[in-house]
Amino acid sequence: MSEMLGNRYFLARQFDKAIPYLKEALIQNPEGDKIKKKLILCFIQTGRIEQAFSLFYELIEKNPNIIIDTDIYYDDCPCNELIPEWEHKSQEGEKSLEYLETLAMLYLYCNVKKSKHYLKEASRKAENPAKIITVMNRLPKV
Amino acid sequence: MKLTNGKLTEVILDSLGEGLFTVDKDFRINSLNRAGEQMFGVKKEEVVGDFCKNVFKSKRCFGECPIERVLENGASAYDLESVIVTKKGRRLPVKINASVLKDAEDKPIWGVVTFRDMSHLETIQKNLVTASSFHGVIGRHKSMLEIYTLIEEVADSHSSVMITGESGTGKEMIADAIQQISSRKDKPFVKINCSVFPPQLLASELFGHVKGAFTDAVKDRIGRFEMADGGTIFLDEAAEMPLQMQVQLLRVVQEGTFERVGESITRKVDVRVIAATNKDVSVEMREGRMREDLFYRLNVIPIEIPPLRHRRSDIPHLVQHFIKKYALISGKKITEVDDEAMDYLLGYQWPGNVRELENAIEYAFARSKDTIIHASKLPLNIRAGIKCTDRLPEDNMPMQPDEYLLLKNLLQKHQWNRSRVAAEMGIGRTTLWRRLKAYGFIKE
Repeated sequence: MSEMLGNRYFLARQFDKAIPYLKEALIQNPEGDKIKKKLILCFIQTGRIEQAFSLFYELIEKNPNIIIDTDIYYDDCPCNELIPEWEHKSQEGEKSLEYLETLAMLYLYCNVKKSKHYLKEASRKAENPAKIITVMNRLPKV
Repeated sequence: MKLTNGKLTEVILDSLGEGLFTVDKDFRINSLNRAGEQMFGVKKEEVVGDFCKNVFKSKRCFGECPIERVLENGASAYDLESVIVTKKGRRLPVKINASVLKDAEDKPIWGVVTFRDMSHLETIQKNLVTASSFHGVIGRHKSMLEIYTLIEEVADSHSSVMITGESGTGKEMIADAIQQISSRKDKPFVKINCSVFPPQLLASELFGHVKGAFTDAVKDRIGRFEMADGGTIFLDEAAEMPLQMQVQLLRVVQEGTFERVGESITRKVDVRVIAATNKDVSVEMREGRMREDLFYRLNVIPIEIPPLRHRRSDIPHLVQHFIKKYALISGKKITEVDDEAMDYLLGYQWPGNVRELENAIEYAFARSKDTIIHASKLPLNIRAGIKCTDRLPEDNMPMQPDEYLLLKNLLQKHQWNRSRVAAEMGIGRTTLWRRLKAYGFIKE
């Protein structure tokens, strides 16, 4: 399993293919924040929102700036491509907890204010909002 | 003066005629040699640290990245065709080689890509596109026009195609034409000659293998069908495939499923199959060398290419095409063949078909110093073997009374000097020759 191949699939936006390679890379390097940031996006795009939020929570606990300081161009972050897709979905039906969590996670890569907005909505929706509130409290004021 | 190790590497890379860049494991460029800077019109300092896909903007960056291919297959990639976009926005056709460098733990850490500027070939190809050409296939004979029509009609079909024809008739060029106008034209097009592999290796080539499947299988390797997924595969000399392999091929053609050698996982692909053979398929089936069920499955769209001796009216077109081609390649100013040479070329049987004709023109080019190829410069077998048994078929040129009268008048005016007639009509001598033949001014 090669991290390089995982990176390549990520660059080509083949998120499903990237996952096994990036997961393996994370086993080799459990502190690999860059790998985790990519895996969050891969999990989101393959519908594994719970796994994505779990990794997201882990990074926020460590240091929210790991995600906030993302440079869209330099880090080849696809959030600008993914956010419109997800926002479009809200027009088709009710805003579920997964939907709100997803946009909160995606927005933190590029817009803290909007991320906080979706986290707030998610905390209202969640039966057990403890983790969401922890994330909100860890984020800087904007 | 001594060069440090890093500097020495830079000097070596800059001395290469081919462009070269390397990327780290995140696919960020970490070096670009001087030839690469010139091709892309950028300075190394401008691109180091950026993702290669942002710099080269090739279609491959978003689909079939050559380094990705190396990482998946474990083997270096050679001569992959691509188009990159230079800083000024110019499209540059290139051929790419790629490989990866690994660390002490055998983990890939760098990708190395070299590329050759192929724009000169594109220029040659553009210059060779003529009215007689159909996606690179030359010929206006009725039988060829029917093939072109058929290819256009089935362009959007995903059905299998079986191309038959003698050796050298251009089966692969017909397959190329099918691919070029099909809805899969932007997808992979993988070619394999089935006759060159021993049976056990052919299975591995077509379907891939897993590590340990046989002695030399040191790592997993994908096969040609997986490489062609979503696109087209061209199986040349398909009738020479061993019977056991034909069973497996039948399954892929029917269901799209197969297993890699040494593995039980069933894989599925979506591949259009174009098969070709120079054998008489009915004989092959009768003698048990080709399975009927496979043949009928492949033969959904049959295309039979006639031998050159059955479409002699295409010979002048082909001659002109090859003259243009070798003039561009060699730089010689040769523009035509003389009448005597054309008579030899038209009278010869061409057992090796178009390929043999091309070789003959190439041979004559090598020997000619003049601007015209004279009969004496043709290969000896063509000059000695003029035993044409077939009659020249009717050229399909429509008869036009005005042109007939024009030709008659000009021939009288110039006392049958064909060069002067051709010059006055503004056409080549070869074209004039065809027209004279079609209107019956020249008998065989």
